[in-house]
Amino acid sequence: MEQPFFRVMAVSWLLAEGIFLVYARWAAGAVRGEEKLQVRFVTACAVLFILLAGTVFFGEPLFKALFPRNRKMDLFLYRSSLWNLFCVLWVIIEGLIILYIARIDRAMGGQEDIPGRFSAAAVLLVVLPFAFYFLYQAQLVSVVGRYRLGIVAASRISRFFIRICGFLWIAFEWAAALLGLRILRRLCRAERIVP
Amino acid sequence: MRILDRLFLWIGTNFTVSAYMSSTRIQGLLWSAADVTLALVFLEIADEARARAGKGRIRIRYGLIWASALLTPLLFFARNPREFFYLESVIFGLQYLVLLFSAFTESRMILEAIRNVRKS
Repeated sequence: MEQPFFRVMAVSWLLAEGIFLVYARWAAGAVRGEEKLQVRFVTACAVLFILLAGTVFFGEPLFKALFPRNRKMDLFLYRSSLWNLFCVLWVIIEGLIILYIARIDRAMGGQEDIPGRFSAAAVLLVVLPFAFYFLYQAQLVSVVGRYRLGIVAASRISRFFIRICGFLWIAFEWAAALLGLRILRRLCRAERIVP
Repeated sequence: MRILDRLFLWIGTNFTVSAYMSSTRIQGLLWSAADVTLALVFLEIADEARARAGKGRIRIRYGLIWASALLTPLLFFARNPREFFYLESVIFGLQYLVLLFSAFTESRMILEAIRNVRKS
Protein backbone atom coordinates (compact mmCIF):
# COMPACT_ATOMS: atom_id res chain seq x y z
CA MET A 1 0.00 0.00 0.00
CA GLU A 2 2.86 2.32 -0.86
CA GLN A 3 1.08 4.55 -3.39
CA PRO A 4 -1.11 7.41 -2.07
CA PHE A 5 -3.84 6.50 -4.60
CA PHE A 6 -3.91 2.90 -3.32
CA ARG A 7 -4.28 4.18 0.21
CA VAL A 8 -7.12 6.54 -0.68
CA MET A 9 -8.98 3.77 -2.54
CA ALA A 10 -8.48 1.25 0.27
CA VAL A 11 -9.91 3.70 2.81
CA SER A 12 -12.76 4.75 0.48
CA TRP A 13 -13.82 1.15 -0.12
CA LEU A 14 -13.74 0.42 3.57
CA LEU A 15 -15.89 3.49 4.22
CA ALA A 16 -18.37 2.49 1.50
CA GLU A 17 -18.63 -1.08 2.81
CA GLY A 18 -19.05 0.26 6.35
CA ILE A 19 -21.92 2.51 5.26
CA PHE A 20 -23.62 -0.46 3.53
CA LEU A 21 -23.21 -2.49 6.71
CA VAL A 22 -24.84 0.24 8.83
CA TYR A 23 -27.73 0.50 6.34
CA ALA A 24 -28.20 -3.27 6.17
CA ARG A 25 -28.21 -3.54 9.97
CA TRP A 26 -30.68 -0.70 10.30
CA ALA A 27 -32.98 -2.13 7.60
CA ALA A 28 -32.89 -5.67 9.06
CA GLY A 29 -34.02 -4.26 12.42
CA ALA A 30 -36.58 -1.86 10.98
CA VAL A 31 -38.28 -4.54 8.87
CA ARG A 32 -38.96 -6.46 12.06
CA GLY A 33 -40.25 -3.32 13.79
CA GLU A 34 -37.11 -3.05 15.94
CA GLU A 35 -35.86 0.31 14.67
CA LYS A 36 -33.13 0.67 17.27
CA LEU A 37 -30.86 3.69 17.45
CA GLN A 38 -27.53 2.71 16.01
CA VAL A 39 -25.52 5.32 17.91
CA ARG A 40 -23.28 2.82 19.70
CA PHE A 41 -22.73 0.65 16.66
CA VAL A 42 -22.01 3.64 14.40
CA THR A 43 -19.68 5.19 16.99
CA ALA A 44 -17.73 1.95 17.34
CA CYS A 45 -17.48 1.61 13.55
CA ALA A 46 -16.40 5.26 13.20
CA VAL A 47 -13.67 4.89 15.85
CA LEU A 48 -12.39 1.72 14.16
CA PHE A 49 -12.48 3.40 10.78
CA ILE A 50 -10.54 6.46 12.00
CA LEU A 51 -7.91 4.19 13.59
CA LEU A 52 -7.54 2.18 10.38
CA ALA A 53 -7.46 5.25 8.13
CA GLY A 54 -4.90 6.81 10.47
CA THR A 55 -2.77 3.68 10.24
CA VAL A 56 -2.96 3.71 6.44
CA PHE A 57 -1.82 7.33 6.15
CA PHE A 58 0.48 7.72 9.17
CA GLY A 59 1.40 4.16 10.15
CA GLU A 60 4.35 3.82 7.82
CA PRO A 61 6.21 6.98 8.94
CA LEU A 62 5.56 5.89 12.53
CA PHE A 63 6.88 2.39 11.77
CA LYS A 64 10.03 3.87 10.22
CA ALA A 65 10.49 6.21 13.19
CA LEU A 66 10.04 3.39 15.71
CA PHE A 67 12.34 1.00 13.82
CA PRO A 68 14.89 3.26 12.10
CA ARG A 69 17.14 0.31 11.27
CA ASN A 70 14.41 -1.80 9.75
CA ARG A 71 15.30 -3.89 6.73
CA LYS A 72 13.39 -3.70 3.44
CA MET A 73 11.80 -7.00 4.37
CA ASP A 74 10.42 -5.63 7.66
CA LEU A 75 8.78 -2.76 5.80
CA PHE A 76 7.41 -5.19 3.24
CA LEU A 77 5.92 -7.40 5.98
CA TYR A 78 4.36 -4.34 7.62
CA ARG A 79 2.75 -3.28 4.31
CA SER A 80 1.62 -6.83 3.57
CA SER A 81 0.01 -7.16 7.01
CA LEU A 82 -1.84 -3.87 6.60
CA TRP A 83 -3.09 -4.50 3.05
CA ASN A 84 -4.15 -8.06 3.90
CA LEU A 85 -5.92 -6.75 6.99
CA PHE A 86 -8.00 -4.48 4.77
CA CYS A 87 -8.76 -7.42 2.47
CA VAL A 88 -9.97 -9.53 5.35
CA LEU A 89 -12.04 -6.65 6.73
CA TRP A 90 -13.86 -6.36 3.38
CA VAL A 91 -14.61 -10.09 3.56
CA ILE A 92 -15.97 -9.75 7.10
CA ILE A 93 -18.11 -6.71 6.29
CA GLU A 94 -19.52 -8.34 3.14
CA GLY A 95 -20.32 -11.47 5.10
CA LEU A 96 -22.17 -9.48 7.76
CA ILE A 97 -24.09 -7.52 5.11
CA ILE A 98 -25.30 -10.81 3.60
CA LEU A 99 -26.38 -11.99 7.01
CA TYR A 100 -28.53 -8.87 7.44
CA ILE A 101 -29.97 -9.17 3.92
CA ALA A 102 -30.82 -12.80 4.68
CA ARG A 103 -32.61 -11.57 7.79
CA ILE A 104 -34.68 -9.14 5.72
CA ASP A 105 -35.50 -11.94 3.29
CA ARG A 106 -36.57 -14.27 6.11
CA ALA A 107 -38.70 -11.53 7.67
CA MET A 108 -40.44 -10.95 4.33
CA GLY A 109 -41.15 -14.66 4.11
CA GLY A 110 -42.73 -14.54 7.58
CA GLN A 111 -39.99 -16.71 9.10
CA GLU A 112 -38.88 -15.97 12.64
CA ASP A 113 -35.26 -15.95 13.74
CA ILE A 114 -34.06 -18.97 15.69
CA PRO A 115 -32.65 -17.41 18.91
CA GLY A 116 -28.86 -17.41 19.04
CA ARG A 117 -28.45 -18.63 15.47
CA PHE A 118 -27.98 -15.17 14.01
CA SER A 119 -25.46 -14.14 16.68
CA ALA A 120 -23.54 -17.39 16.27
CA ALA A 121 -23.35 -16.87 12.49
CA ALA A 122 -22.20 -13.26 12.99
CA VAL A 123 -19.49 -14.30 15.46
CA LEU A 124 -18.27 -17.02 13.09
CA LEU A 125 -18.20 -14.57 10.18
CA VAL A 126 -15.92 -12.29 12.21
CA VAL A 127 -13.75 -14.82 14.05
CA LEU A 128 -12.98 -17.28 11.23
CA PRO A 129 -11.62 -14.74 8.70
CA PHE A 130 -9.60 -12.98 11.42
CA ALA A 131 -8.17 -16.30 12.61
CA PHE A 132 -7.26 -17.19 9.03
CA TYR A 133 -5.62 -13.77 8.56
CA PHE A 134 -3.50 -14.04 11.71
CA LEU A 135 -2.43 -17.61 10.98
CA TYR A 136 -1.57 -16.77 7.37
CA GLN A 137 0.47 -13.68 8.29
CA ALA A 138 2.21 -15.53 11.13
CA GLN A 139 3.11 -18.36 8.76
CA LEU A 140 4.34 -15.83 6.18
CA VAL A 141 6.63 -14.13 8.72
CA SER A 142 7.80 -17.51 9.99
CA VAL A 143 8.59 -18.90 6.51
CA VAL A 144 10.36 -15.69 5.47
CA GLY A 145 12.55 -15.84 8.59
CA ARG A 146 13.33 -19.55 8.54
CA TYR A 147 13.98 -19.97 4.83
CA ARG A 148 15.45 -16.49 4.28
CA LEU A 149 13.03 -15.71 1.46
CA GLY A 150 13.48 -12.57 -0.62
CA ILE A 151 10.91 -9.84 -1.25
CA VAL A 152 9.79 -11.45 -4.55
CA ALA A 153 8.83 -14.78 -2.97
CA ALA A 154 7.29 -13.05 0.06
CA SER A 155 5.18 -10.77 -2.12
CA ARG A 156 3.91 -13.79 -4.09
CA ILE A 157 2.77 -15.43 -0.85
CA SER A 158 1.21 -12.18 0.32
CA ARG A 159 -0.64 -11.69 -2.98
CA PHE A 160 -2.00 -15.22 -2.79
CA PHE A 161 -3.87 -14.16 0.36
CA ILE A 162 -5.47 -11.29 -1.59
CA ARG A 163 -6.54 -13.81 -4.21
CA ILE A 164 -8.24 -16.03 -1.61
CA CYS A 165 -10.06 -13.00 -0.18
CA GLY A 166 -11.01 -11.94 -3.70
CA PHE A 167 -12.84 -15.17 -4.40
CA LEU A 168 -14.63 -14.88 -1.06
CA TRP A 169 -15.85 -11.35 -1.97
CA ILE A 170 -17.15 -12.66 -5.26
CA ALA A 171 -18.99 -15.53 -3.57
CA PHE A 172 -20.49 -13.09 -1.05
CA GLU A 173 -21.48 -10.56 -3.73
CA TRP A 174 -23.25 -13.27 -5.73
CA ALA A 175 -24.99 -14.43 -2.57
CA ALA A 176 -26.14 -10.85 -1.91
CA ALA A 177 -27.35 -10.51 -5.52
CA LEU A 178 -29.33 -13.77 -5.30
CA LEU A 179 -30.88 -12.77 -1.98
CA GLY A 180 -31.72 -9.40 -3.53
CA LEU A 181 -33.47 -11.22 -6.39
CA ARG A 182 -35.56 -13.16 -3.89
CA ILE A 183 -36.53 -9.94 -2.12
CA LEU A 184 -37.43 -8.37 -5.46
CA ARG A 185 -39.58 -11.39 -6.37
CA ARG A 186 -41.39 -11.22 -3.04
CA LEU A 187 -42.02 -7.50 -3.56
CA CYS A 188 -43.36 -7.97 -7.10
CA ARG A 189 -45.52 -10.93 -6.09
CA ALA A 190 -47.04 -8.97 -3.21
CA GLU A 191 -48.06 -6.21 -5.60
CA ARG A 192 -50.36 -8.61 -7.38
CA ILE A 193 -51.99 -9.70 -4.12
CA VAL A 194 -52.37 -6.31 -2.43
CA PRO A 195 -55.15 -4.27 -4.04
CA MET B 1 9.58 -29.83 6.46
CA ARG B 2 6.06 -29.09 7.59
CA ILE B 3 3.27 -29.34 5.03
CA LEU B 4 2.35 -25.66 5.52
CA ASP B 5 5.95 -24.61 4.92
CA ARG B 6 6.01 -26.63 1.73
CA LEU B 7 2.73 -25.07 0.59
CA PHE B 8 3.96 -21.52 1.29
CA LEU B 9 7.29 -22.17 -0.43
CA TRP B 10 5.43 -23.57 -3.43
CA ILE B 11 3.26 -20.42 -3.59
CA GLY B 12 6.40 -18.28 -3.24
CA THR B 13 7.94 -20.05 -6.23
CA ASN B 14 4.94 -20.49 -8.52
CA PHE B 15 2.50 -17.66 -7.90
CA THR B 16 4.33 -15.34 -10.28
CA VAL B 17 3.16 -11.92 -11.45
CA SER B 18 1.76 -13.49 -14.62
CA ALA B 19 -0.16 -16.13 -12.60
CA TYR B 20 -1.38 -13.35 -10.32
CA MET B 21 -2.47 -11.23 -13.30
CA SER B 22 -4.30 -14.13 -14.97
CA SER B 23 -6.25 -14.97 -11.83
CA THR B 24 -6.83 -11.25 -11.20
CA ARG B 25 -8.40 -10.80 -14.64
CA ILE B 26 -10.78 -13.72 -14.06
CA GLN B 27 -11.57 -12.44 -10.60
CA GLY B 28 -12.15 -8.90 -11.86
CA LEU B 29 -14.62 -10.14 -14.45
CA LEU B 30 -16.53 -12.32 -11.98
CA TRP B 31 -16.51 -9.58 -9.39
CA SER B 32 -17.77 -6.94 -11.78
CA ALA B 33 -20.51 -9.31 -13.02
CA ALA B 34 -21.59 -9.91 -9.43
CA ASP B 35 -21.51 -6.19 -8.63
CA VAL B 36 -23.45 -5.24 -11.77
CA THR B 37 -26.08 -7.90 -10.97
CA LEU B 38 -26.29 -6.73 -7.37
CA ALA B 39 -26.60 -3.06 -8.38
CA LEU B 40 -29.24 -3.83 -11.02
CA VAL B 41 -31.26 -5.91 -8.54
CA PHE B 42 -31.00 -3.11 -5.97
CA LEU B 43 -32.15 -0.54 -8.55
CA GLU B 44 -35.06 -2.82 -9.54
CA ILE B 45 -36.09 -3.07 -5.89
CA ALA B 46 -35.82 0.72 -5.59
CA ASP B 47 -37.86 1.14 -8.78
CA GLU B 48 -40.55 -1.19 -7.43
CA ALA B 49 -40.68 0.81 -4.20
CA ARG B 50 -40.78 4.08 -6.17
CA ALA B 51 -43.66 2.80 -8.30
CA ARG B 52 -45.62 2.00 -5.15
CA ALA B 53 -44.94 5.51 -3.86
CA GLY B 54 -46.08 6.98 -7.18
CA LYS B 55 -42.62 8.17 -8.23
CA GLY B 56 -40.96 7.94 -11.66
CA ARG B 57 -38.47 5.35 -12.84
CA ILE B 58 -34.71 5.52 -12.25
CA ARG B 59 -32.77 6.16 -15.48
CA ILE B 60 -29.32 7.74 -15.04
CA ARG B 61 -28.17 5.22 -12.42
CA TYR B 62 -29.04 2.32 -14.73
CA GLY B 63 -26.97 4.05 -17.40
CA LEU B 64 -23.99 4.36 -15.06
CA ILE B 65 -24.17 0.67 -14.11
CA TRP B 66 -24.33 -0.40 -17.76
CA ALA B 67 -21.41 1.94 -18.49
CA SER B 68 -19.38 0.19 -15.78
CA ALA B 69 -20.38 -3.17 -17.32
CA LEU B 70 -19.14 -1.98 -20.71
CA LEU B 71 -15.83 -0.89 -19.18
CA THR B 72 -15.28 -4.27 -17.48
CA PRO B 73 -13.69 -6.07 -20.50
CA LEU B 74 -10.90 -3.46 -20.37
CA LEU B 75 -9.64 -5.31 -17.28
CA PHE B 76 -8.35 -7.99 -19.66
CA PHE B 77 -5.97 -5.50 -21.22
CA ALA B 78 -4.34 -4.30 -17.98
CA ARG B 79 -0.61 -4.99 -18.31
CA ASN B 80 0.40 -4.94 -14.65
CA PRO B 81 -1.20 -4.95 -11.16
CA ARG B 82 -1.00 -1.16 -10.95
CA GLU B 83 -2.91 -0.59 -14.20
CA PHE B 84 -5.42 -3.18 -13.12
CA PHE B 85 -5.97 -1.38 -9.82
CA TYR B 86 -6.56 1.98 -11.56
CA LEU B 87 -9.11 0.44 -13.93
CA GLU B 88 -10.73 -1.49 -11.11
CA SER B 89 -11.06 1.73 -9.13
CA VAL B 90 -12.97 3.42 -11.96
CA ILE B 91 -15.28 0.46 -12.68
CA PHE B 92 -16.07 -0.47 -9.09
CA GLY B 93 -16.02 3.17 -8.00
CA LEU B 94 -18.89 3.81 -10.39
CA GLN B 95 -20.85 0.82 -9.09
CA TYR B 96 -20.22 1.71 -5.45
CA LEU B 97 -21.25 5.34 -6.02
CA VAL B 98 -24.54 4.26 -7.56
CA LEU B 99 -25.20 1.83 -4.69
CA LEU B 100 -24.27 4.43 -2.06
CA PHE B 101 -26.41 7.15 -3.63
CA SER B 102 -29.32 4.73 -3.92
CA ALA B 103 -28.92 3.62 -0.31
CA PHE B 104 -28.95 7.27 0.83
CA THR B 105 -31.95 8.30 -1.26
CA GLU B 106 -34.15 5.20 -1.56
CA SER B 107 -33.72 3.17 1.62
CA ARG B 108 -36.72 4.69 3.45
CA MET B 109 -38.99 4.05 0.49
CA ILE B 110 -37.74 0.48 0.05
CA LEU B 111 -38.22 -0.19 3.74
CA GLU B 112 -41.78 1.12 3.57
CA ALA B 113 -42.55 -1.17 0.62
CA ILE B 114 -41.09 -4.19 2.43
CA ARG B 115 -43.05 -3.39 5.57
CA ASN B 116 -46.26 -3.23 3.56
CA VAL B 117 -45.50 -6.65 2.07
CA ARG B 118 -44.98 -8.04 5.56
CA LYS B 119 -48.31 -6.59 6.74
CA SER B 120 -50.13 -8.12 3.78
